[in-house]
Amino acid sequence: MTLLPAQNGSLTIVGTGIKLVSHITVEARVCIEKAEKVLFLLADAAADIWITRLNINSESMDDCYIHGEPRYYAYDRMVERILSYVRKGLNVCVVFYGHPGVFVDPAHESIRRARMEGFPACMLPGISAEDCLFAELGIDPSENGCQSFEATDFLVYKRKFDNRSSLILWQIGVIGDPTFNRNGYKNSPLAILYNVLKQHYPSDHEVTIYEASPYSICDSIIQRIPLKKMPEVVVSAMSTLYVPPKERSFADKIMLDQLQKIIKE
Amino acid sequence: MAKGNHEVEDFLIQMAEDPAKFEEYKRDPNKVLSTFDFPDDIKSDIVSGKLENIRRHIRRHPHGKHPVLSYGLNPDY
Repeated sequence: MTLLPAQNGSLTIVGTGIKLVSHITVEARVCIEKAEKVLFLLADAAADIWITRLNINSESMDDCYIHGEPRYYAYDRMVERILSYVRKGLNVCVVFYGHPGVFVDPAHESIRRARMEGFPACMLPGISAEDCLFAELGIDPSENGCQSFEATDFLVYKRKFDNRSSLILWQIGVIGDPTFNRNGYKNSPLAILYNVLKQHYPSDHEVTIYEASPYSICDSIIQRIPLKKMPEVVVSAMSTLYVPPKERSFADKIMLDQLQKIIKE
Repeated sequence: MAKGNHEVEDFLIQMAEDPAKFEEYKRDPNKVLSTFDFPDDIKSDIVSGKLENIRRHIRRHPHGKHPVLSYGLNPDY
Protein backbone atom coordinates (compact mmCIF):
# COMPACT_ATOMS: atom_id res chain seq x y z
CA MET A 1 0.00 0.00 0.00
CA THR A 2 1.46 3.32 -1.07
CA LEU A 3 1.01 5.96 1.61
CA LEU A 4 3.06 8.76 0.07
CA PRO A 5 3.19 10.16 -3.49
CA ALA A 6 5.44 8.16 -5.84
CA GLN A 7 8.97 9.53 -6.05
CA ASN A 8 12.25 8.77 -7.79
CA GLY A 9 13.85 5.52 -6.77
CA SER A 10 12.44 2.02 -6.98
CA LEU A 11 13.01 -1.42 -5.59
CA THR A 12 12.84 -4.78 -7.34
CA ILE A 13 13.70 -7.95 -5.47
CA VAL A 14 14.76 -10.98 -7.50
CA GLY A 15 16.08 -14.48 -6.89
CA THR A 16 18.87 -16.38 -8.61
CA GLY A 17 17.29 -19.76 -8.02
CA ILE A 18 19.45 -22.44 -6.46
CA LYS A 19 21.69 -23.53 -9.34
CA LEU A 20 24.36 -21.03 -10.30
CA VAL A 21 23.46 -19.11 -13.50
CA SER A 22 21.09 -21.82 -14.75
CA HIS A 23 18.06 -21.06 -12.58
CA ILE A 24 17.74 -17.32 -12.96
CA THR A 25 14.74 -16.11 -14.97
CA VAL A 26 15.12 -13.84 -17.97
CA GLU A 27 13.22 -11.01 -16.26
CA ALA A 28 15.38 -11.24 -13.13
CA ARG A 29 18.59 -11.17 -15.16
CA VAL A 30 17.44 -8.15 -17.16
CA CYS A 31 16.52 -6.40 -13.92
CA ILE A 32 20.00 -6.99 -12.48
CA GLU A 33 21.69 -5.79 -15.65
CA LYS A 34 19.63 -2.60 -15.88
CA ALA A 35 19.63 -1.58 -12.22
CA GLU A 36 21.47 1.53 -11.09
CA LYS A 37 22.43 -0.28 -7.89
CA VAL A 38 22.50 -4.00 -7.12
CA LEU A 39 22.68 -5.40 -3.60
CA PHE A 40 23.07 -9.13 -3.17
CA LEU A 41 23.08 -11.94 -0.61
CA LEU A 42 24.11 -15.20 -2.22
CA ALA A 43 25.26 -18.61 -1.14
CA ASP A 44 28.90 -18.52 -2.21
CA ALA A 45 31.67 -16.59 -3.90
CA ALA A 46 30.98 -18.06 -7.36
CA ALA A 47 27.53 -16.49 -7.35
CA ASP A 48 28.97 -13.21 -6.03
CA ILE A 49 31.47 -13.06 -8.91
CA TRP A 50 28.79 -13.83 -11.47
CA ILE A 51 26.43 -11.11 -10.22
CA THR A 52 29.25 -8.57 -10.11
CA ARG A 53 29.99 -9.39 -13.74
CA LEU A 54 26.37 -8.79 -14.68
CA ASN A 55 26.42 -5.34 -13.08
CA ILE A 56 29.54 -3.58 -11.83
CA ASN A 57 27.46 -1.44 -9.47
CA SER A 58 26.92 -4.47 -7.25
CA GLU A 59 27.52 -4.73 -3.54
CA SER A 60 27.35 -7.69 -1.19
CA MET A 61 25.32 -7.51 2.01
CA ASP A 62 27.34 -10.31 3.68
CA ASP A 63 28.91 -7.86 6.08
CA CYS A 64 25.51 -7.38 7.71
CA TYR A 65 26.10 -10.65 9.57
CA ILE A 66 27.98 -10.54 12.85
CA HIS A 67 29.07 -13.73 14.56
CA GLY A 68 27.02 -14.58 17.65
CA GLU A 69 24.26 -12.05 17.02
CA PRO A 70 20.63 -12.99 16.37
CA ARG A 71 20.22 -13.26 12.61
CA TYR A 72 17.34 -10.81 12.56
CA TYR A 73 19.83 -8.04 13.52
CA ALA A 74 21.51 -8.70 10.17
CA TYR A 75 18.18 -8.57 8.38
CA ASP A 76 17.44 -5.17 9.92
CA ARG A 77 20.77 -3.90 8.63
CA MET A 78 20.00 -5.27 5.16
CA VAL A 79 16.65 -3.51 5.05
CA GLU A 80 18.25 -0.23 6.11
CA ARG A 81 20.96 -0.55 3.48
CA ILE A 82 18.47 -1.40 0.74
CA LEU A 83 16.26 1.56 1.60
CA SER A 84 19.20 3.95 1.86
CA TYR A 85 19.90 3.43 -1.86
CA VAL A 86 16.23 3.62 -2.85
CA ARG A 87 15.93 6.93 -0.96
CA LYS A 88 18.83 8.29 -3.01
CA GLY A 89 16.52 8.01 -6.02
CA LEU A 90 18.21 4.96 -7.54
CA ASN A 91 16.52 2.05 -9.27
CA VAL A 92 17.69 -0.70 -6.94
CA CYS A 93 17.68 -4.44 -7.60
CA VAL A 94 18.25 -6.74 -4.64
CA VAL A 95 19.28 -10.30 -5.37
CA PHE A 96 18.81 -13.25 -3.03
CA TYR A 97 19.52 -16.90 -3.76
CA GLY A 98 16.59 -19.22 -4.30
CA HIS A 99 13.16 -17.61 -4.37
CA PRO A 100 13.48 -14.10 -2.93
CA GLY A 101 10.18 -14.38 -1.08
CA VAL A 102 10.73 -17.79 0.50
CA PHE A 103 12.53 -17.67 3.86
CA VAL A 104 13.82 -14.17 3.16
CA ASP A 105 12.63 -11.76 5.83
CA PRO A 106 14.54 -8.72 4.56
CA ALA A 107 12.99 -9.05 1.09
CA HIS A 108 9.41 -8.76 2.34
CA GLU A 109 10.25 -6.12 4.92
CA SER A 110 12.14 -3.87 2.51
CA ILE A 111 9.28 -4.01 0.00
CA ARG A 112 6.78 -3.16 2.72
CA ARG A 113 8.89 -0.22 3.95
CA ALA A 114 9.65 1.08 0.44
CA ARG A 115 5.94 1.14 -0.42
CA MET A 116 5.14 2.87 2.86
CA GLU A 117 7.63 5.59 1.88
CA GLY A 118 6.06 6.00 -1.55
CA PHE A 119 8.52 4.08 -3.70
CA PRO A 120 7.41 1.53 -6.28
CA ALA A 121 8.54 -1.89 -5.10
CA CYS A 122 7.96 -5.41 -6.34
CA MET A 123 9.26 -8.96 -6.15
CA LEU A 124 9.93 -11.35 -9.03
CA PRO A 125 9.61 -15.07 -8.32
CA GLY A 126 12.53 -17.47 -8.44
CA ILE A 127 13.22 -21.19 -8.08
CA SER A 128 13.26 -22.27 -4.43
CA ALA A 129 14.85 -25.27 -2.75
CA GLU A 130 11.36 -26.75 -2.47
CA ASP A 131 10.93 -26.53 -6.24
CA CYS A 132 14.18 -28.45 -6.68
CA LEU A 133 13.03 -31.01 -4.13
CA PHE A 134 9.77 -31.61 -6.00
CA ALA A 135 11.67 -32.13 -9.24
CA GLU A 136 14.47 -34.33 -7.92
CA LEU A 137 12.54 -36.46 -5.45
CA GLY A 138 9.64 -36.85 -7.88
CA ILE A 139 7.00 -35.42 -5.57
CA ASP A 140 3.84 -33.76 -6.79
CA PRO A 141 2.37 -31.65 -3.98
CA SER A 142 -1.09 -32.15 -5.43
CA GLU A 143 -0.86 -35.85 -4.62
CA ASN A 144 -1.78 -36.30 -0.95
CA GLY A 145 -1.16 -32.61 -0.28
CA CYS A 146 2.00 -31.07 1.09
CA GLN A 147 2.77 -29.22 4.33
CA SER A 148 5.84 -27.05 4.66
CA PHE A 149 7.28 -25.60 7.88
CA GLU A 150 10.49 -24.09 9.12
CA ALA A 151 11.84 -26.77 11.47
CA THR A 152 12.18 -24.67 14.62
CA ASP A 153 8.78 -23.11 13.99
CA PHE A 154 7.36 -26.63 13.58
CA LEU A 155 8.67 -27.67 17.00
CA VAL A 156 8.20 -24.50 18.99
CA TYR A 157 4.65 -23.81 17.88
CA LYS A 158 3.68 -27.48 17.94
CA ARG A 159 2.30 -27.23 14.41
CA LYS A 160 -0.59 -29.53 13.69
CA PHE A 161 -0.12 -31.56 10.55
CA ASP A 162 -1.61 -34.51 8.72
CA ASN A 163 0.70 -37.51 8.48
CA ARG A 164 -1.26 -38.75 5.46
CA SER A 165 0.18 -35.80 3.53
CA SER A 166 3.80 -35.00 2.65
CA LEU A 167 5.70 -33.02 5.26
CA ILE A 168 8.63 -30.74 4.40
CA LEU A 169 10.76 -29.22 7.16
CA TRP A 170 13.22 -26.48 6.25
CA GLN A 171 16.43 -25.51 8.00
CA ILE A 172 16.78 -28.72 9.98
CA GLY A 173 20.48 -27.92 10.37
CA VAL A 174 19.90 -24.81 12.47
CA ILE A 175 17.10 -25.93 14.76
CA GLY A 176 16.72 -23.80 17.85
CA ASP A 177 19.57 -21.42 17.07
CA PRO A 178 18.47 -17.93 15.98
CA THR A 179 22.02 -16.54 15.94
CA PHE A 180 24.52 -16.26 13.15
CA ASN A 181 27.37 -18.67 13.79
CA ARG A 182 30.30 -18.50 11.41
CA ASN A 183 31.54 -21.87 12.63
CA GLY A 184 28.38 -23.71 11.73
CA TYR A 185 25.51 -25.14 13.73
CA LYS A 186 24.95 -28.14 15.98
CA ASN A 187 23.04 -31.16 14.71
CA SER A 188 22.11 -32.32 18.22
CA PRO A 189 18.56 -30.80 18.10
CA LEU A 190 17.74 -33.42 15.45
CA ALA A 191 17.21 -35.80 18.37
CA ILE A 192 14.38 -33.57 19.59
CA LEU A 193 12.88 -33.44 16.12
CA TYR A 194 13.02 -37.23 15.99
CA ASN A 195 11.23 -37.48 19.34
CA VAL A 196 8.38 -35.42 17.95
CA LEU A 197 8.16 -37.14 14.57
CA LYS A 198 8.25 -40.65 16.03
CA GLN A 199 4.92 -39.91 17.71
CA HIS A 200 3.39 -39.68 14.23
CA TYR A 201 5.44 -42.09 12.10
CA PRO A 202 6.95 -45.55 12.59
CA SER A 203 10.68 -45.47 13.44
CA ASP A 204 11.54 -47.29 10.20
CA HIS A 205 9.57 -44.81 8.06
CA GLU A 206 11.93 -43.75 5.27
CA VAL A 207 12.63 -40.00 5.17
CA THR A 208 14.85 -38.00 2.84
CA ILE A 209 17.36 -35.33 3.72
CA TYR A 210 17.86 -33.15 0.70
CA GLU A 211 20.22 -30.41 -0.34
CA ALA A 212 19.87 -29.09 -3.88
CA SER A 213 23.09 -28.78 -5.85
CA PRO A 214 24.05 -25.21 -6.68
CA TYR A 215 26.36 -26.34 -9.51
CA SER A 216 25.65 -27.99 -12.84
CA ILE A 217 28.69 -30.27 -12.49
CA CYS A 218 27.61 -32.03 -9.33
CA ASP A 219 24.68 -33.89 -7.88
CA SER A 220 22.38 -32.81 -5.10
CA ILE A 221 22.83 -34.47 -1.72
CA ILE A 222 20.03 -36.97 -1.18
CA GLN A 223 20.17 -39.12 1.95
CA ARG A 224 17.39 -41.66 2.41
CA ILE A 225 17.31 -42.96 5.96
CA PRO A 226 14.88 -44.59 8.36
CA LEU A 227 13.42 -41.99 10.72
CA LYS A 228 15.21 -43.57 13.70
CA LYS A 229 18.59 -42.57 12.19
CA MET A 230 17.71 -38.87 12.36
CA PRO A 231 19.63 -38.19 15.59
CA GLU A 232 22.84 -39.53 14.02
CA VAL A 233 22.72 -37.94 10.60
CA VAL A 234 24.97 -35.05 9.60
CA VAL A 235 23.12 -32.20 7.94
CA SER A 236 24.08 -28.72 6.76
CA ALA A 237 22.38 -25.38 7.24
CA MET A 238 20.92 -25.83 3.75
CA SER A 239 19.40 -29.28 4.35
CA THR A 240 15.67 -29.89 4.06
CA LEU A 241 13.76 -32.90 5.42
CA TYR A 242 11.10 -34.62 3.37
CA VAL A 243 8.74 -37.00 5.18
CA PRO A 244 6.42 -38.94 2.87
CA PRO A 245 2.87 -39.77 3.92
CA LYS A 246 2.58 -42.55 6.49
CA GLU A 247 -0.45 -44.09 4.85
CA ARG A 248 -2.81 -43.57 1.95
CA SER A 249 -5.85 -41.36 2.29
CA PHE A 250 -9.42 -42.53 1.76
CA ALA A 251 -12.09 -40.28 0.33
CA ASP A 252 -15.01 -39.37 2.56
CA LYS A 253 -18.10 -40.84 0.89
CA ILE A 254 -20.51 -38.37 2.46
CA MET A 255 -18.49 -35.44 1.18
CA LEU A 256 -18.21 -37.02 -2.27
CA ASP A 257 -21.99 -37.45 -2.38
CA GLN A 258 -22.52 -33.84 -1.28
CA LEU A 259 -20.24 -32.58 -4.03
CA GLN A 260 -21.84 -34.75 -6.68
CA LYS A 261 -25.27 -33.59 -5.63
CA ILE A 262 -24.43 -29.86 -5.74
CA ILE A 263 -22.72 -30.16 -9.12
CA LYS A 264 -25.78 -31.84 -10.62
CA GLU A 265 -28.18 -29.20 -9.30
CA MET B 1 44.56 -21.56 -0.18
CA ALA B 2 45.90 -23.15 -3.30
CA LYS B 3 46.73 -21.21 -6.40
CA GLY B 4 43.85 -21.27 -8.82
CA ASN B 5 41.12 -21.12 -6.19
CA HIS B 6 39.57 -18.18 -7.90
CA GLU B 7 39.43 -20.27 -11.03
CA VAL B 8 37.16 -22.83 -9.38
CA GLU B 9 34.46 -20.18 -9.27
CA ASP B 10 35.27 -19.20 -12.88
CA PHE B 11 35.11 -22.83 -13.90
CA LEU B 12 31.69 -23.29 -12.29
CA ILE B 13 30.35 -20.14 -13.95
CA GLN B 14 31.71 -21.24 -17.32
CA MET B 15 30.13 -24.69 -17.03
CA ALA B 16 26.78 -23.05 -16.29
CA GLU B 17 26.98 -20.36 -18.96
CA ASP B 18 28.36 -22.43 -21.82
CA PRO B 19 26.23 -25.52 -22.57
CA ALA B 20 28.63 -26.74 -25.27
CA LYS B 21 31.54 -26.62 -22.83
CA PHE B 22 29.46 -28.41 -20.22
CA GLU B 23 28.58 -31.15 -22.70
CA GLU B 24 32.27 -31.50 -23.46
CA TYR B 25 32.99 -31.71 -19.73
CA LYS B 26 30.39 -34.47 -19.30
CA ARG B 27 32.05 -36.45 -22.11
CA ASP B 28 35.63 -35.93 -20.97
CA PRO B 29 36.03 -34.03 -17.70
CA ASN B 30 39.79 -34.44 -17.56
CA LYS B 31 40.24 -32.88 -21.00
CA VAL B 32 38.27 -29.79 -20.03
CA LEU B 33 39.94 -29.56 -16.64
CA SER B 34 43.37 -29.69 -18.27
CA THR B 35 42.67 -26.20 -19.63
CA PHE B 36 42.39 -24.88 -16.07
CA ASP B 37 45.32 -24.35 -13.77
CA PHE B 38 44.09 -26.52 -10.92
CA PRO B 39 46.20 -28.59 -8.53
CA ASP B 40 45.51 -32.33 -8.72
CA ASP B 41 43.49 -32.45 -5.49
CA ILE B 42 41.08 -29.85 -6.83
CA LYS B 43 40.73 -31.67 -10.16
CA SER B 44 40.03 -34.92 -8.39
CA ASP B 45 37.41 -33.32 -6.12
CA ILE B 46 35.69 -31.69 -9.11
CA VAL B 47 35.62 -34.94 -11.08
CA SER B 48 34.13 -36.73 -8.05
CA GLY B 49 30.93 -34.79 -8.76
CA LYS B 50 30.24 -34.56 -5.04
CA LEU B 51 28.96 -31.25 -3.73
CA GLU B 52 30.79 -31.58 -0.42
CA ASN B 53 34.13 -32.11 -2.22
CA ILE B 54 33.68 -29.20 -4.60
CA ARG B 55 32.60 -26.86 -1.82
CA ARG B 56 35.98 -27.29 -0.15
CA HIS B 57 37.56 -25.27 -2.94
CA ILE B 58 35.08 -22.44 -3.22
CA ARG B 59 35.82 -19.32 -1.31
CA ARG B 60 33.31 -18.65 1.39
CA HIS B 61 32.12 -15.26 2.28
CA PRO B 62 34.20 -13.47 4.90
CA HIS B 63 31.37 -13.94 7.36
CA GLY B 64 31.82 -17.66 7.73
CA LYS B 65 32.24 -21.09 6.26
CA HIS B 66 28.56 -21.89 5.95
CA PRO B 67 26.03 -20.60 3.47
CA VAL B 68 23.95 -17.71 4.66
CA LEU B 69 20.43 -18.03 5.96
CA SER B 70 17.90 -15.36 5.45
CA TYR B 71 15.04 -16.53 7.61
CA GLY B 72 14.77 -14.73 10.92
CA LEU B 73 12.97 -16.54 13.67
CA ASN B 74 10.51 -14.53 15.65
CA PRO B 75 12.36 -13.60 18.86
CA ASP B 76 9.12 -13.78 20.80
CA TYR B 77 8.72 -17.51 20.57
